[in-house]
Order: sequence, then C-alpha cells, then structure tokens
Amino acid sequence: MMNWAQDITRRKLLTASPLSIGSLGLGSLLGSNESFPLIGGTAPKAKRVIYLFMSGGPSHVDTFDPKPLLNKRDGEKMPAEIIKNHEFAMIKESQPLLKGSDWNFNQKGKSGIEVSELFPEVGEVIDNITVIRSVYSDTFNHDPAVMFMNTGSVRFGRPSLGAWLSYGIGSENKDLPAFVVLASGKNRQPLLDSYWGSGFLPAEHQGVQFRTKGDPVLFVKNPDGVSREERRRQVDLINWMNAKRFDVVGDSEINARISQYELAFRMQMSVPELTDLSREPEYIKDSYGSEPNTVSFANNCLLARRLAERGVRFIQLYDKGWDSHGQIVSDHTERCKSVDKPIAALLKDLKQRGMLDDTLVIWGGEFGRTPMSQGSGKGYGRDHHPHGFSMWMAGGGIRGGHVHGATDDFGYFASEDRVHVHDLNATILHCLGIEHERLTFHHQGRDFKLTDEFGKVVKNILS
Amino acid sequence: MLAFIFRSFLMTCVVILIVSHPHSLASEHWAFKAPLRSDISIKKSEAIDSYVRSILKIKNLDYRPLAPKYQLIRRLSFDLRGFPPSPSEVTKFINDKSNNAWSRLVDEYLESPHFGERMAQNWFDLARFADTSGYAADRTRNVWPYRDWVIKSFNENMPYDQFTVEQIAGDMLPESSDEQKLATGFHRQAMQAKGNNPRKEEFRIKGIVDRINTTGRTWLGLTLECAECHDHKYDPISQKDYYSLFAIFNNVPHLSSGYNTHGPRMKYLPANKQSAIDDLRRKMDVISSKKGIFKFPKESENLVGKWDRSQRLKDSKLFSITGDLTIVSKIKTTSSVSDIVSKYDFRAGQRSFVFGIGGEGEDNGNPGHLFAWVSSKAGSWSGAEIHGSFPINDGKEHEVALIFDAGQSLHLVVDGVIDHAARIIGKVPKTIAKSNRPLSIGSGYQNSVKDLHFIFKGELTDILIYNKAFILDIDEELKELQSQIANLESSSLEVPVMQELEEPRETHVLLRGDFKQKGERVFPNVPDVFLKDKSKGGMNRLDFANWLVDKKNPLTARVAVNYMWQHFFGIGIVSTPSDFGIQGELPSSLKLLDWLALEFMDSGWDRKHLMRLILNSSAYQQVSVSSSDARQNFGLMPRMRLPAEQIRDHFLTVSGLLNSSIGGPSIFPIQPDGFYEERGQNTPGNSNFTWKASAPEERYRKSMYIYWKRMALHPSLAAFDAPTRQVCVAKRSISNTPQQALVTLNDPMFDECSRAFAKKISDFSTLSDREKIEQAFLIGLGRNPVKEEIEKFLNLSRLDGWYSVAAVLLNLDEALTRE
Repeated sequence: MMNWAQDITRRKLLTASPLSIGSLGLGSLLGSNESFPLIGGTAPKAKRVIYLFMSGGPSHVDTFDPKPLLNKRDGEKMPAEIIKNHEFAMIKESQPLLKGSDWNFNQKGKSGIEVSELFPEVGEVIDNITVIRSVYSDTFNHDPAVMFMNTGSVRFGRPSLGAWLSYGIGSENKDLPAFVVLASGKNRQPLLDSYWGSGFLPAEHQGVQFRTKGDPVLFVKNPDGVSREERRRQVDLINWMNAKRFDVVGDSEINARISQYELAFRMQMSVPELTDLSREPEYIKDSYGSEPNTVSFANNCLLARRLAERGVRFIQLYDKGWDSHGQIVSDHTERCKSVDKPIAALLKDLKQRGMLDDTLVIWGGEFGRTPMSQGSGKGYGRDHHPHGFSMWMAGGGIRGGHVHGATDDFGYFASEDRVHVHDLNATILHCLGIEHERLTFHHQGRDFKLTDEFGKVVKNILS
Repeated sequence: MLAFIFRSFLMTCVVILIVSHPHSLASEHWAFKAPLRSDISIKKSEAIDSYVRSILKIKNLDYRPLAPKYQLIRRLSFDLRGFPPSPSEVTKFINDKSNNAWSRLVDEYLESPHFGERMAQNWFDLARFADTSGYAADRTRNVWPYRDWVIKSFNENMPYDQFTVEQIAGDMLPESSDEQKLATGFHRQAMQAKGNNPRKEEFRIKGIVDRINTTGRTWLGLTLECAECHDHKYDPISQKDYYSLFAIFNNVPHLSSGYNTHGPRMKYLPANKQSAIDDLRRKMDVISSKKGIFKFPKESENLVGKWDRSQRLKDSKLFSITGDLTIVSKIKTTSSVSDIVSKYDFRAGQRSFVFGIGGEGEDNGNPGHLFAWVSSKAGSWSGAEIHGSFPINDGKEHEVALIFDAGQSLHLVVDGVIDHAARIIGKVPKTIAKSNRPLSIGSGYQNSVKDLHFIFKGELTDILIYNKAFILDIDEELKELQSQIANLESSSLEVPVMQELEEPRETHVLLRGDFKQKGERVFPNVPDVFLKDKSKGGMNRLDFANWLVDKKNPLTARVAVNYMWQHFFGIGIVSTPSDFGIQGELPSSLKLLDWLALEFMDSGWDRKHLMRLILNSSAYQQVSVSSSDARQNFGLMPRMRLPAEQIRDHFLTVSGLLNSSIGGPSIFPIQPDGFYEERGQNTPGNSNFTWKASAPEERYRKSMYIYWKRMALHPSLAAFDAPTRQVCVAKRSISNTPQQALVTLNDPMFDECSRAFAKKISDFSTLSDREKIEQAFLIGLGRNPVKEEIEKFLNLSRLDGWYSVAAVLLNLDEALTRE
C-alpha cells in the first residue's frame, strides 16, 4: 500500500482501477519496471499550492473589481434584461436595487491595479498577483458551489483538488501528508469534510486537518501517562511482530503498516514542532499578526508557510464568515481586516525565502456577491453571485501585476475573457506540470477527471 | 409476463462501441443475456469448487492448503458476526474433531443474531444509510427504525426478492403493514438539502437522480447515472430510458420548505409501546363513558359563528376576536398538516390566531397532531403556541377544540377530554391581535391574500366559534392516564418512508440534466434494452420492484451473488460490482456466476442457503494469501484489513467492554473536543447539533450504531475508509496510513479498550506472567504465542506493564486483518 511518501518524480498517468490501487497499491505499481506515460509534458512551474479559500463568498465589487457605473447608479433598479429569469438565493424582489461599493478603490503598485481599501496590504504586493475578474461558476448554493470549486462537480462523492494532487504527484515530504487543511474564521456556513475529501480515491488522499490550538493533528498525542520511551518500545514490538508475520505470509501490506507505524511515531514529534508557531522569530509573527495557541487566519498563513517549506503539496486555508447577506459593511470590514495583513505577509515571506517562484498562491471563494443589495439601509448585505466574480493567483507560474478578464459595467456577468471554474482548475494543474485531461481515475465504469470533459488552461495569466 | 429478450441496440453510439469494444457489442454483452446453467449434472456441494478450480487450473495453480482452525473460526466470525470469536469458542472448535465441525460452526454463526448486523453493515453502504440529511444543513433524521428492519430481515433470512420489493415499494403492497412501509426507508436515505437557499425543486430532482443511481448500482450493476445528461456512452441506456426510470420515482410527496423540507413520514412506535397505549385508551373510554364527556353547547349567547363545512369568508373585519375564544369542530382526516380555522398569516405579518393540524411546517410542528397559535401582535410574534400530544389523523371522527382563556391558559380538547400533555411554548397573551385576513374555515394563508394553503382534506363539520373560554372539569383519573399515554407517545418517531402521490407528476426528459430545461414527455418504464411489453402502459414503483426480481431479469440475481462473493473473497467474480456493463470487468468465471445466480433464484432467493454453499466450499477454507496475489489469481483467499467498524468492534470485544445489544437509536462514542465546532457543524441554521458522548454502557455498542454524520463523520471511522454514505458505495477502498496508527494507539475510545484489556490480563491473578501472556494471545489473536513471542512480551510487561502488552496485541497487523 502507499503511504504519503511518493516523490515528485512520480509524475505518472495513473489510470489504475480502485481495485488495483486498493491492494496492489501505487507504491508497488511505481516500484515495478513498467513505464507509465507522464501526466504532463511541460515542466512544472509550481511545486506546491497554498489556496486561501474565503468560505461563504467574498464580494468582488467591494474588493478587486471596481465598478464606477454601479456606484453612479446606486439605488436604481437593476435593469430587468440583465437578470431576466435569474433566481437568487435570498433576494426575493423581482427588480432588486443596485448597490455601489462603500469602499474606495486605489491604484496600487507599479501595475496600478485598482484594489479596494479593504485590502490595503494586499494592494502593496499586487505586482506579484494576477487578478482574474471574470471567474464564473454554475451554482449558487454554498455547499454545491464549494464542491464545484474543489472537485469540479456539484455532486458529492468526487475527489477534491488536493486529493487529486496527492494521488497524482504525492508529497515532497515522506513524513507529512500531501494535502493539509487549515480552518479559521467566524462560524456561519459549516465546513464539510467532503470539501477536502478523497471521493472515490483511496482515503489516504483526503486532506488532513492541522490545527494551531488543541491537538495539532487528531490523536497525535500519546494518551495520558504514556511516555515517548514506552511508545517507542510498543512500536518496536508491534513492528517486530509484524515483520515476523510478513516472513510467514509475505503480504506487502504488512511492510506498509510497519512504515506507517514508524511514520506515525515520527509525526508525534515532528507535527507538534511544526505547528508550534512560538518558534518563529518575533518579527515574522508580527508581520503576520500571529498569536500562537489561538485559532486565526494569521496563524494559519504562517503555518502554511512552514508546511510549504517542508514540502506539503497542497495547503488549503478555509476562512469562514464571508457570507454577508446582511451587515456587509461591518462583516466584510472585519473579515478583510483579519486576512489582509497575513496574506500580504505570506506573499512577502515566501518571496523573501525564494519560495514564491515555485509556490502557487490562490485567493477566492465559492462565488462572489450580487452587485444588488439584499435588504436596505445600514444593515444591507449582498446575495450569492456565481455569474461573474474575482479570484487571484500569485507565484509559481503566474504573471505578476496583471488583470485578466472583466465583468460587465454592473459587475454582474463575467463578460471578457471568461474563466469557468473548470478553466481555473485546468490552469492550476498546468502550473503544477499536469495536463488536466490526463490526470484520470477509472471508477465504476468511467475515467473521471477533475475538470470532467471541460476546462481550458488560461494561458494569458501564465508567466 | 414481461419479456426480456435483448433488443438490438441501434443508436448512434454503436459506432463508438464497435471501435472501442470490438468484442462486446451491446447486443452481445453477456450481462444482458439470461444466466445459463452450463452443467446440469454437477452436484450442489461440488459446483463452486469445480468452477473455481478450473479457473486456477488455467494458470497451473490449485488451492492453497486448508487454513489452520484458529484462523478459520476467526475468519468466519468476522465475516458473519463482525467480531472475533471468544477464546472458549476457539478452543471448542479446535477440539471438535468431528467431520461436520466446520459446517456446524457455519450453521451456528448463520443463526447468530449478530449475523444480521454484519450483513446490514454492507447493505448500508449501498443504501447510503446515515443519520443526517446531508448538504450544509446536515440535520438528524430518524432512520434507525429502518436499520432495525434491515438487521431483522437478514436474521430472519427474508428471501431477497421480498427484501427487494419491500424496500423499493413496500408502501404500495396491498394492505401493507407498518413494517413493510418502514422498509421503504431505503430510498428515503437520499440526501436532502435544507435551508433558505436551496431551490426546492432542484433538490427534489437530485433526490430522484440519487435513487436511480443507487438502484442501478445496488440491483442492476449498472451505472445508470451516465444517462442523466446524455445517452450512455457505452451501455444501451438512452437519456429517454433514464427519464422513464425517473418517472417511476417521480411521485413521492415533497413537503414543507426551508429547513423543514422533507418527504413523507410515518409515525413509528415500537410494537410494545403501541399496545400499551391501546390499553390505556380503552381504560379512558371506560371512564369517559361512565362520567360522560364535556359537551360544547350548540346554542349559547357566546356563540359567534357556526358552519357545517369548509369555506372562505370575504369580510376581513368579521370574527376579529381579541379576547376569550373557543373553537370546536368535528374532523375526520388522514392528513398530517392542515388548518381548521385560520386568521393568521405570519409570513405577511398578519398574525391573529389559527387552529389546525401539524403546525405549518415550522420546527415545533408535530404532523398529525393538533396545534394552535395566538399572537398579541400582528407584525411580529408575541404569543403562545400549543402542540397536542394525540395523533388525530387516524381517519376516525374526532371532536376537537381549542380554548383560549385570555392571559390565563391555552387548551386543546380531543373528544371532550383536555389534552393535558400538550406542549405550550411562549406566554399566553392577554389579547389577540387583529388580522386583515378574513376568517378561513378549512384552509390557511401563507404570505398571500388568498387562503389556498394548508387545505383541510377529509370531513370538516360542525364548526363552532365562541367568544368565551369554557372551563372544563379536570378528571384526575383521566389526567393520569393521559399523562401515561403522552409519556409513551413521546418516544414515537416520525420516520421517513416512501409514499405515492395520488396524481402522478408529469415527467419530461431534462435536457443536460438541468431541472429547468424540460424536453420530451416520458412515461414510467424500464430501459428499452430490457424490452418490456410497452402496450400495457405505465409501470409504477411496485411493478418496477417486481420486475427487478422477476426471474427473467438477467442482472439482479447475478449482481446479488456477486456482492456476496465480494464479501467473502474481497473481490467479486465481477470485480466491478456496480458495473456489469460494457465498461465493467468481465466475470472471472461466468459459469460460476451463473450457477450461483440460478441456484439463488431456484432456492427462493435464500441468502443463507447461498452463503452456506460458499462457506462450505474448499475455496473459502484455504489459507489466505496477500490481497494482490488474490487479485491476480481468482479463486485464492486474500488477507483483508478489517473494515472501520470491525476494527473498533475488535477492540471492544477483546477488551471485554463490548455491549452487544442489538438495534435501537444511534450512539455517540467519545469524539475529539471541538470537532463539530471548528467545522461550524453545531451552529443553529446548520445542523444545529452538538455531539455529546453516550454513557459508557451505550457507547461500547457496536460501530454500526455510531451516529453517522455525512458531513463530519467520526474521524476514527473516516481514517479506516468508512464511507460518508452521501452516495451509494459498492466497494470500499482500503488505505494504509499513519493516521490509522494514531487512531488505534491514541484515540481515547481505542485507548479505553487497551486499558480494559490490560486490566483483564492482570486480573488473571492466579496465573504466572507467562500464562497471562498466553491468555492475552488467545483473547487478542485467537492463538497461542510461540516461545520467542512470549519472551518479547514478558520483557515488555516487565518494563512497561500490561497496558503496553494490551496495546501492542490490539495494534498488530494480524489483529487488524482478517486472514
């Protein structure tokens, strides 16, 4: 059986059936002399991904997509021809009112890209970033939309992007999982395990949650009263017995189990050390705004860098609380305040360490928010909006200081250089040197892909 | 009789088929042709081995030797009961030298009450059985009575055809029993999105899609879902076929809205409680008939309105009663939600009062029970609601009444007796607000000036309204009986079941699977490939169920025996158990598959009979090989890592903590603190559910009873590949990760077992340390240790004590594997 230790050279096309994965295993597949076609022809620009997921859906017209006309026509009815036949999640009026942004946009960096005052610090590093203002999705409910973004399907049961990468190219670090998940934010929309699930891929590809408070990884601590020495002796005897059993039955699963018990033992040391942010110098903690032993997006950004340094392939940060149906002014102010500084610090820190070149950083949510208000007065909010919204990417393989695509004058439809979710995922895989059509898994009668039968690499944003 | 002759498949994709599968044109594909008996003279007891050996022979292989007895009994115990044998069972079997020792053991375990539990566990992966509704608002459903039904049906060896028909269409059988209705919980396991955002129709459609996919994988071994959006690329299932199947499942009521969206439900009370209630009711009748019940006066100066049937009034100013109020009516109905008298539209801010059945789809509503509301403010809620404790939708006539004594009390009356067990929420207001909705008899309002909602179905007569609160005498004896009934009733559950609409919905092909894009109209039927006599017209769900288990159906029996084979041999005869189509793997031995399928049908779909044949074969009793060797060589027996549930149950059994009681509600073992909280799973508006560990006795029950939360499965189950059961799973993956080691070494619920096992070992106070280790091996692994092992464990016990010995024995590959 496989473990987390698949090295980067194993960039293979793996069309094995779940059965052969199940027990023949990737490890033994790759250990054999059979040759497998490569997943991709191009050399990867990015070795790893840090995906900053603003769960609930941040408002594009208030953050990265300035809309002067929307501001000008604030309070007018949304033209009926635009929203013809559209339903909304919460807005019930047939002609809701346009709502301009309450925040100013300023030109930032050498590129002069306009960024809202909600993201002053990210604005300072905008020259590293390509803002995509023309992303669109197929669905407007949270969980199907997050599933769609992560798995390319609104249905449950498919593997997530991180699981695909774990399966396809594995981890750079044999002592850590390929796919790590970090969570922060304000409870509103729940996080579902399926967001980082392995779907029909074997379970070892599912995301493993790391935490900056409590057990850093579930069950990583010995039970009370069990010392590290005792545990060592237990694992020694377990492995001795297992090795004896292997001699009798010759099942390679047993050898795999021996290495997993060893790895688990090492993780019990390495993981708490890895998640212990107090080891970072003060100036680094200050730059992120990190306070060890709490749950925060800042801590997660710093931890993400530590994980990236150690070769974790795919690190996904979920920040909850972006679903501002009401009180968007106070809610978005609060959320942005808690993520702006750490994001900028992360980009600078990666750059300073020379890691931004081969680390792909992605920012976005499952959709944007309507350019029309939901509710009125001070407590207004914005509804879910999948027809056109902004995401951004930076680092490994991505142009800096660039804007791709646009929404229409109201910020409603993605209108120029539209980027579908499948295109986005195809592009992410491309940066990692994977042709999205070739990363497949045969399951219940068909070859599945992250991008289904769709997806085109957005070449314009590549460096 | 239905005809199953394969019709030649003349669709455009034939070209594709020829190109990609030259040997398996749809019309030639083995799985669509009836099973054949290739050798009529073969003896039943020899058939399996004869077919299996002949496959091995092709590779110049034969069976491995007979497995040692301690291994055989452990294998059989895990396979049939889901936990290891006790040391005394092992010893007894080893010492039984009689010829039929094995077959008697097989019989004994097939009759174990835990057989049903172990078999149900597999079935629940197919049935996507889980405790929650799925999606973001992952809320609890009362599904455990269905779990009990499945366990019982396996234990009673219900024939597979009956098992099938009752689960697919038990509600449609003539004079169907409550048990048969309960069985239809199978298809109510489909996920259901709840909340303010999801479009109700969109997710109703998704539920049907799930039912078709699940049915395809479970019974037909076909990946029907490929045809949801376009004609199936490989198998002869057109999109039209797909929506014809869809039409069969398209007639299930879809009720209420928002967080309360749900399908049909049935009131479920365990049989013993129901009969206790019937006894109490009879006692009450006797008392009432002696004392006479309260009669509301037909003539009274306080009578302000009198009607004899449902009707809509026009003048909104009439009947704006602001103080004391009594409403009386005779009803005869089976509906679970409806209004009797309404002057209340809370969505429109027109609150006054309402009296009806079941609530209006809100959280506190209790379908089939009386309810009422009064509010002292029209625009916002300020008042009290009352929910009755008696179900009154039994189709019998009842006189029901609401009595509002302003500022004092709110009462419901059924057949002249006050419902003292009714639940009142909120403070009884002093006045009732005026509403500009006209008084409506037999219907209600929902954000509309028209009273077209919550329409009363059945007989509604003798409606009387008084501007007075009648004060009824309270009979202490009746009150006591009533509270006993309420107590028993409180354990009743509304369980999800299937039901058929009287008027079937119209079904159309949905273009690209989009619920808004309707194409051609279609009628309920099975795919053309199973050519059915179309002249008879539509097929309903019951016809479909019967068609599944018709002996001419080429797939059902084969698929069923293949799942059975997969259970015992790790890999099916067809290694793609849910895809017998053209893209699926070919059977390793079609002769064997067909022989088993025919034997299965001929035996009257007797599952235990089939299992007995398999388990008594030499194939099953071989010493095991690695799973990769078994995969490459059909007919060998693989070592298999235990499923997630059996790993925990193994720990519980060995430690002696296991509570082996069967059935009942789900349980909550220890779960890491904050596991739901950090995922926002506990927040109101989402699943609104906090994990609270069960008391020790309860939490040591078998893993199949663990609360199965689809969106946040217990992390230790998930670590060992337990599926979330969001969708039908035909075969679990088996992974091997460091997290698994962390779970079995450190998870408090596993550690608890190691500690209990350690205590058990040290409690053998009369034994020497060496003998203690021998006992520990026998309990933990079912075998004796060899000398070298004894020395190693003795050494460990001297250094670190019995806890380490216990933890090591429980964590061995040999312990986590069924060999």
